[in-house]
Amino acid sequence: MTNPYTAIVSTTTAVLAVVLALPVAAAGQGSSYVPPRTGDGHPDLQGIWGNNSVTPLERPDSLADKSALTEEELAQVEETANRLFALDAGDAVFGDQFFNVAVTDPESFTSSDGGTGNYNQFWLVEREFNTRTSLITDPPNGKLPPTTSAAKMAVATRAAGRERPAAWTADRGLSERCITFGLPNLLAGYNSYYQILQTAEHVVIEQELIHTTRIIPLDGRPHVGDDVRQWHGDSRGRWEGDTLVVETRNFSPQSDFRGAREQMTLVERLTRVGPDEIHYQFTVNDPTAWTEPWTALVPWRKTDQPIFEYACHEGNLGMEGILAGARAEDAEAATAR
Amino acid sequence: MKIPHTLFVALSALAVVALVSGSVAAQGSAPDEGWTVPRTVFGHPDLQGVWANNNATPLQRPEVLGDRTHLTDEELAAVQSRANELFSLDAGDAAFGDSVFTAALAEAESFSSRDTATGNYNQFWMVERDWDTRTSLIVDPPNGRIPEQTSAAKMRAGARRTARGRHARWTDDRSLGERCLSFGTPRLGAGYNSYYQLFQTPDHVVIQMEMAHDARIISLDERPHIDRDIRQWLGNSRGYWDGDTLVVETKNYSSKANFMGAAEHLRVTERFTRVSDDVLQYEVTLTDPTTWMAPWSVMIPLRSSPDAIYEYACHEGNIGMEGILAGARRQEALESR
Repeated sequence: MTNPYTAIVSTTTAVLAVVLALPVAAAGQGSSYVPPRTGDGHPDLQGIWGNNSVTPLERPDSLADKSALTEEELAQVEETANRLFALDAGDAVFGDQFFNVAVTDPESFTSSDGGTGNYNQFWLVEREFNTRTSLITDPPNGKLPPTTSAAKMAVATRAAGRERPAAWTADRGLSERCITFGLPNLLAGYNSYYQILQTAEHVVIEQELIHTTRIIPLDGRPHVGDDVRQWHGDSRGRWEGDTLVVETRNFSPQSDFRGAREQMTLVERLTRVGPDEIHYQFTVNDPTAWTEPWTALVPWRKTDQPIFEYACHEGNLGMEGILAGARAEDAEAATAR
Repeated sequence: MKIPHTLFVALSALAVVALVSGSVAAQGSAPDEGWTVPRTVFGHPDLQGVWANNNATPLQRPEVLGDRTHLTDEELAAVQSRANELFSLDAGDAAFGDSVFTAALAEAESFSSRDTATGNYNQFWMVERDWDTRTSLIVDPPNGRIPEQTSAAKMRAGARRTARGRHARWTDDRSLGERCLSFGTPRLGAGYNSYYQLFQTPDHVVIQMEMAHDARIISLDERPHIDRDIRQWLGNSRGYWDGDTLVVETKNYSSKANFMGAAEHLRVTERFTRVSDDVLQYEVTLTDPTTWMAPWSVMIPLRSSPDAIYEYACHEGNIGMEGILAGARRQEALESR
């Protein structure tokens, strides 16, 4: 779903989806919707689902304890965003920026990619608006819990490491190296598509980014041994009523979800709340990273578009440039000495 | 499945299977008398599970065997015994692919790996192989040999050899497998992480390959192939049931793909037939008039494995690539003196 033609087609789909499904209530609150069933009687979550919601992970400070905008406020935000981020012009807006810029400081917007200016909005999918002001539902203030001092240090160390000339690819981030975008992936509006397939004993979740495919057993088998560590951890699933619950642990010490690593546990809850919508709710816990667990809810919207094979490392000539630049800096420094 | 402990468990299990079942499926497609294929709840033959290709039979019949499609049981016993002497599990160089069978058949006095320069692999890392009396995986042409290459294909192969001989300017001067992009489909290589896990839904099949953790998600619902302008490393696959056989047709390979010299014009037909509890017969027909003078076909008996497939790490540990490129720069520096 990366080429412009597809983007335009997806956009049409997305616009229709927004019109068709306006409210995004909290998961399972008195919904009368009964999901279709697979042959073995479980809710059928199969299909391709997109995360193109504009709602930021954390609630902007200016909205304080306001968990939802009014319809009038939403219309105002949407109008501002559409003016700023017209589809075929302007810098690309990634992730939370779309909403945050529109509600806070619209006139001062510059892309995070100001250095090269190689992305513009043409490459990004149209986003879906709803009244929620944060994906985080717990803590109730819509903000991440405080990070531990150990996590602050780790983040600072990594940030400093990125500033050094890279000795080799391993000095760069996991997504730059095309290894993984990690779990859970929160990035909205940028190849944020998931295909779900269900068998009697397994659920398969393909993620478009880096064509990562998680294969999750549902048969109650125990987790793998504590010393087997993986980028996407080790997942076990089960049904709780009509909700698919997936628990994941055994993350690698080199994995990195906002500073959380091998101590992180992840509980994902997928509930089909309508013909075109899944509520993807997750709770992460890592006492070495945050002072308490936190929970977010992301609405996934059905799409008819296929997921194509993902190309990342094979076109990753930026890595060559980064390393060549680092060597040039090394050479300059040596000459100056 | 590269973990030694797992390897030992797998070896014991496979050894038992090999002793008991001998040359099941070696003769072709006739299922065992009285055996009926298990079925999924939606009525398709159940092919699900982990399947291994550890077959010792070489892709092409060694020329010394002429038109003999099978060894006698006595000849097989002799070859197997010779192989066991040459390739004891914890000693000696690693024998990849066809070399186990061909070296033993040639009554080699000693075996040295093609990886003589580093000696970093030994047979400890390799799985025990499954033996049967067949003398080639190729069933068509009847001589068990790959058809002659076209002159264009020979020229392409020569150009690739030359390119590999040059100092690598960057990673894309090296092969797809070395770059951890893909080990391609179909993958015929045996005995080296050659494990596959199949999952079935009423309208999709998922084939997870351990190498480079590629998962093929194949629709069975008669939708057409994607547009011929969309080219992928693993092509574009569509499946259907032909009686109790799953048939998968693949085209739209990338021009940069490389299956034994074939790329964008390659057409592949795979046929999966479960012929017993422990054997999934895997037949592949390869057609590319720009590469071979005739289509050719292969049959591999895949065996059921009780082991789990773990996340595959390739690029993240690919420090060899750093060494290759650093070595190339060093050689250039020496040559420019």
